[in-house]
Amino acid sequence: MAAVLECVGVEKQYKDFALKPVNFVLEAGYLTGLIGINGAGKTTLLNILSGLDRKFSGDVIIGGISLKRNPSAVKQRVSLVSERITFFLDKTPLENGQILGKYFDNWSMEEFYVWMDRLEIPKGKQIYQFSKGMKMKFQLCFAMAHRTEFILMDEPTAGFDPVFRRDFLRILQDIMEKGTGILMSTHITGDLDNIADYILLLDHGELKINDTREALEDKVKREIIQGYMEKRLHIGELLKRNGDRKNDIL
Amino acid sequence: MTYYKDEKKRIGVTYKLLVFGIVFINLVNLMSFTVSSKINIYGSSWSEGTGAIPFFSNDLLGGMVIIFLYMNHKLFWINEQGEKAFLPKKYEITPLTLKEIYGAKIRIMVNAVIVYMICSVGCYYFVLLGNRYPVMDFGKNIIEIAEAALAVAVFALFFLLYDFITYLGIERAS
Repeated sequence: MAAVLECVGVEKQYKDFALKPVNFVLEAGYLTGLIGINGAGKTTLLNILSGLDRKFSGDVIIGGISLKRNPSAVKQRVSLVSERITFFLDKTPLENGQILGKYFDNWSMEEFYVWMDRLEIPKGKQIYQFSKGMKMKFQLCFAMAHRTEFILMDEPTAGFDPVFRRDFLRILQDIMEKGTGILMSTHITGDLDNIADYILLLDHGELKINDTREALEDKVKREIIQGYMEKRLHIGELLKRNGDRKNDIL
Repeated sequence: MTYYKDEKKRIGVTYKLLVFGIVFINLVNLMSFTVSSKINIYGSSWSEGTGAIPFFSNDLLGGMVIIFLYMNHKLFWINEQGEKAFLPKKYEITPLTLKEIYGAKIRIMVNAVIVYMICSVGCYYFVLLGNRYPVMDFGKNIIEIAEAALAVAVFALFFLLYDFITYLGIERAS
């Protein structure tokens, strides 16, 4: 049975921002796009789901294991790929694998080698010399080497050139074929057009849309999403417009 | 347990050399002070009630501070690209808990200071009894050892609190 990640009423309160109760379910083997403008709460949500941020209400359950009760067990099954993760910058990818990998139950140095070869990571180069794209790919190798069930990616394609972005999205497809679930945050909806199975849209800390990829193909829904992404239209206006259109058709 | 062993392996033997180096310097200082005090006792200037050599000396305290500063730096910080980086942050993606990380580091730090204290007590009595020093106050010594142990606890708490506040600051900033 495929693993399932359940986000149950996750919320967090800051002085000037609140992540309102978020509920959704992710399935292993599928890619879910988490979209929203900067400041919508995407990074906050990903940090909570990955176990980096422990001060939140609600719970995250993976294969029946609660993040609140057993964060270590959840971290064995979830990986965060983010610019924020530092690793040992003065060490090579191999050294990082040797130092950090041993704390994961399913760590496989062999798998780490295979993925590094596949993603063309220079094994002997220190990490600080890596470009942003290379760092993201290295983190993916690390995640795959401990046979993670879910990979959470925080804006992985931001700053990539179009060619590299295409390659990266192809890599994600390979990962999904291995049965790993991906939750990828982005503010570039174009990235999700071809590969996402589900879409989550966050706006001002609130989950507004939890739908299938087809939502992006539906003109009206796409307009709503674009509205959120560009902040030109309000939901009320779009719903009204949608209603007007239906009336016209009728 | 694995993390504790890994940390011990990572910091190597330098800290042990530092502890024994400080103990040796303190031993030499104590030895020369004991000999000069003994000369005074047997000289004409000595009066009743003076001449006791304190265990809890500036040397002991200074050594303690140096060991704490060194261990704290070695266990919690690394130099990366010319900048100081907070080491526990590097392990945040692993399933290790903060409790495991801090627990291992505290254990190593406290072990080093305990070794230092035991060696210092041993050296103190070795020098004084070996020299047949005439003015010894065992009751006062016990109080001094307790004071030194309290100082160890205060230093340990101070450094751990400092590291934890730094960690929270880094967390907030990121």
